[in-house]
Amino acid sequence: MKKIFSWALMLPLMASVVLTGCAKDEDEETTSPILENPVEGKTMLFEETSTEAEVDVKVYTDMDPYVGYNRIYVMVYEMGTQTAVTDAHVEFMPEMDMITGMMHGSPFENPAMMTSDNGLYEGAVVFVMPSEGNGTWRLGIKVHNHSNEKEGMVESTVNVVSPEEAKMYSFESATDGARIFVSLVEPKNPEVGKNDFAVAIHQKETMMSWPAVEDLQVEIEPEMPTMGHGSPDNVNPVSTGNGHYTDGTVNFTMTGYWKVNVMIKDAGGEVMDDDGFFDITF
Amino acid sequence: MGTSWKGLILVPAVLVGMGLKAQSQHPDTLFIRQNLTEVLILDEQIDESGSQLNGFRNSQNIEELVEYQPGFTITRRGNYASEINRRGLSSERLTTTINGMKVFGACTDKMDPINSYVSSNNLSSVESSCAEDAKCYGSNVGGQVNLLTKEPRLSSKPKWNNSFNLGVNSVSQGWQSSINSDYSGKNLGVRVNGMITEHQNYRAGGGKEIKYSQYNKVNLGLGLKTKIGERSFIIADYIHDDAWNIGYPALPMDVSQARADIYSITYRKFFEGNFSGNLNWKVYGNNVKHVMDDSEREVVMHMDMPGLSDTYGSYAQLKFNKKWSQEVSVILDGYQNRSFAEMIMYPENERFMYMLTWPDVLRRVLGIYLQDKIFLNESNQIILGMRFDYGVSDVQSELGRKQFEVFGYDLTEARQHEIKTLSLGYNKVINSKNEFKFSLEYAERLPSISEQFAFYIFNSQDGFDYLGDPDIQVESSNKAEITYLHKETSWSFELTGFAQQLDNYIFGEVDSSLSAMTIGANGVKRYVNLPYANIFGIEGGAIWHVTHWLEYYLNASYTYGFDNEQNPLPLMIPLTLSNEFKLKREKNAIYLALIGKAEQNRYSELAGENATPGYMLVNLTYAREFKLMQQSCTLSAGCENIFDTYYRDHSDWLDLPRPGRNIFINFRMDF
Repeated sequence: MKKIFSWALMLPLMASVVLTGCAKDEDEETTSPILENPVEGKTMLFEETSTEAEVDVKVYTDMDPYVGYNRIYVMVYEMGTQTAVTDAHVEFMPEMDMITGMMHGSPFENPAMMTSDNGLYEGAVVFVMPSEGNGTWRLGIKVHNHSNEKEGMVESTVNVVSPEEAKMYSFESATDGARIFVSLVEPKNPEVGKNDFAVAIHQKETMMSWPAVEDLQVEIEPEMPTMGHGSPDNVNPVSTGNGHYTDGTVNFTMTGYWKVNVMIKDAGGEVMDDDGFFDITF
Repeated sequence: MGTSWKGLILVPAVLVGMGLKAQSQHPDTLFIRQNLTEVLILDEQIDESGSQLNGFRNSQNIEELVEYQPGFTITRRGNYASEINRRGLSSERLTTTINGMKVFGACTDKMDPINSYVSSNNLSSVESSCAEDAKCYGSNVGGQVNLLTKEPRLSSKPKWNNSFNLGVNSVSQGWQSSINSDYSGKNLGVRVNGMITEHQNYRAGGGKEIKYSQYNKVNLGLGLKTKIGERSFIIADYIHDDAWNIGYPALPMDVSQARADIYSITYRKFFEGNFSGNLNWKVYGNNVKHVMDDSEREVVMHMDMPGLSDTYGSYAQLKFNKKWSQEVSVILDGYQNRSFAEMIMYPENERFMYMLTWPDVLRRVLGIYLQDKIFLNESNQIILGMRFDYGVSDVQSELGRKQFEVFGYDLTEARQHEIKTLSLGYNKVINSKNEFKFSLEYAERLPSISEQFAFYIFNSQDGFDYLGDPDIQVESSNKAEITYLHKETSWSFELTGFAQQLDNYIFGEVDSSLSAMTIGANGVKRYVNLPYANIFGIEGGAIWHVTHWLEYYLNASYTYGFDNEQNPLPLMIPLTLSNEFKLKREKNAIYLALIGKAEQNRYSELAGENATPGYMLVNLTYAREFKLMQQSCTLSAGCENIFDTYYRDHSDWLDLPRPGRNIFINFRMDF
């Protein structure tokens, strides 16, 4: 009897095969401490001091500026110190001196907040053309320092490149002839699965006026042109103000070259453009 | 021959199979349809070298040797690695094992059923169970097929048996050679066998060459048995199977490599005393690698599709000899399988595309099986069977989980299944000539890896990409089966009828909202549960010892199945009759087989099947024993499909025709 049940020792062995696996290893999500350096890992564009406003200004972007929607991160410090200026009004002034001698601007979003715990003021600029072959881009940052009520500006030339896959396109609206610019905001790092999809839409009113366009309808349809298939369950982004269209979802079932087709309609549902697309390869 | 099989005339020819030596050991059918207890004990008592399984058929592919047994069909996609089906149910609904070990193929397109990872050279027998013993190695709704390898033997007088085999055939310009070596000592037995074979494209009836049907294979088997106590043994077993350059004409891709290493150690003990019986405790592993290859085909876009399947497990099988009018068996088993398959596509001038077709699934299953055979009296038996499996299936790859996220599935939590089986059987011996068996069974099965986690797996028979459903319901079956056996002095027959209802029948259903991934596919199907499907069938077998030198065997099969919308099920078996005549006289043997299949007009259009005409096949083999250098030799020559009939079987894919006339010669020497 004892001999027979010596095999029962194997029970724990085999049970462990299943049971240890059942206890799913919890992916330990370490909540990262609040970054001490809010611009860690970002690319510095330039740094300048404004003696008029008595501030040091450091300007960062996620990557080298490109044609499209660029988030701009501005760190403002009290001149000559590492002390952040927590109360300031920061404005952007992107301008291009064209080869032809003319000058024009670009859509931009000034930092929405006028206070900042750590001195970071985040906004964005849509550079509508590359530097090469067109002229010289300058990015001016105007700072109104509320702590001493002083104002000043810093500026630098900026080299804007054409990304390998376009992150912005423009068209002439079929409904009213307006010149519209559509810039890809999300996904920043596309991957297989569900990805956030968001765009920013602006209009060229004049050489220096590029307002955001709200209340349009954006419809997306991703496909893999070589394979002739799309993906299911995509969600169109919706107008959330200031030219932003967010809360969209684009689904990628595999890696490779995807083309996300974009159709823009006006608030009444009339098609303004249906030839737009973003090439996304990953 | 004719398009519609109408009747078979029994030709009184006189034939015997090449399994001449082993005639006394096993019935001439290499097929054992008895319960397991008998087979195991039989093995220990036999003291001869095993029979050549090839017998009178010229094939090392084990599935071709079991094909016309009652209830069996095979699905061919090429000339190699055909899938075994039972009663019209294919591998996901069966339990197919090697020596009771779980082995799983590594190909998403079912190019490598596990019978392809052994050769008939490795095996001593194939067990098939449909009633009471059909769940001992796993849960299933269609029965069990267990491939038993040749075990090394012990002998009080040490001896060494070897055999060498060489054969050639015409239909695929193929050749095969094998060596078997068996050493049997008092406390140690060693068995080594090796096989190599090479085949070119084969020709169908009428001479049509079937492109991409070549294959090459090498197989090595090793076994060791030692006696470590009065009644205790340790058996080690290893098979290395390596096939390459394998063509699959019914599929859009071929295979560059299909390789498996299958190994195990078994502790076996016979115990006496108050409760006597035997114990088999096996620990095992197997690693399968399968690489699909489209370089020989004209494709729009080249793709690589390798797959891996690694299984590790253990089982303890305890059988008690009859005590208190009961025979009890218990099996406890556990295994884990990792199935991984990827697809890399290479478009021109573009980044390559990558996707997991099997998203690195880890499945762990723990199971228990109990059987109690109760002998009410000499002529009445009740058999109770029960099985429970607990399975956990987990997608290990983050990329795999993200792929399924697109379809709304959250795979961060593993999926769990509880699989239950309960069966009740009643055997009655009416008198010395008549016996009757009846059984009722409720069974469930785990969904296959593809049914649960397939990601755009192309099915060339219906032209659709398939998506799995991680939350698919468990399929279950209610089955009633009745068997009548009749025995006279020189003849006997057995007739079985069954009715089965499969609930939550898993099948592919078109999802028109999805676009296919595979270029040229018809669309996408998802695995779903249909409310139910029904199958009815009849199987029969008869043996007639006409004279002491002439034997006749008859096997018959038929199934009839439909789903909840009365659509015919795929793979249904039209009336099949196989007549075999075996003659042995002195040193001569002749084998004649007449096989007829009726047409199948009840086909599954949904699964991509066509109506299939009936066919009749005639196979004839002549064998002669003689001595060469004092060693026993056998030379056999045969012709399969004598009339060079162009035919295809209903279970085969894409109307692939089967081989035409095949002339083969085989030489065997025992020394």
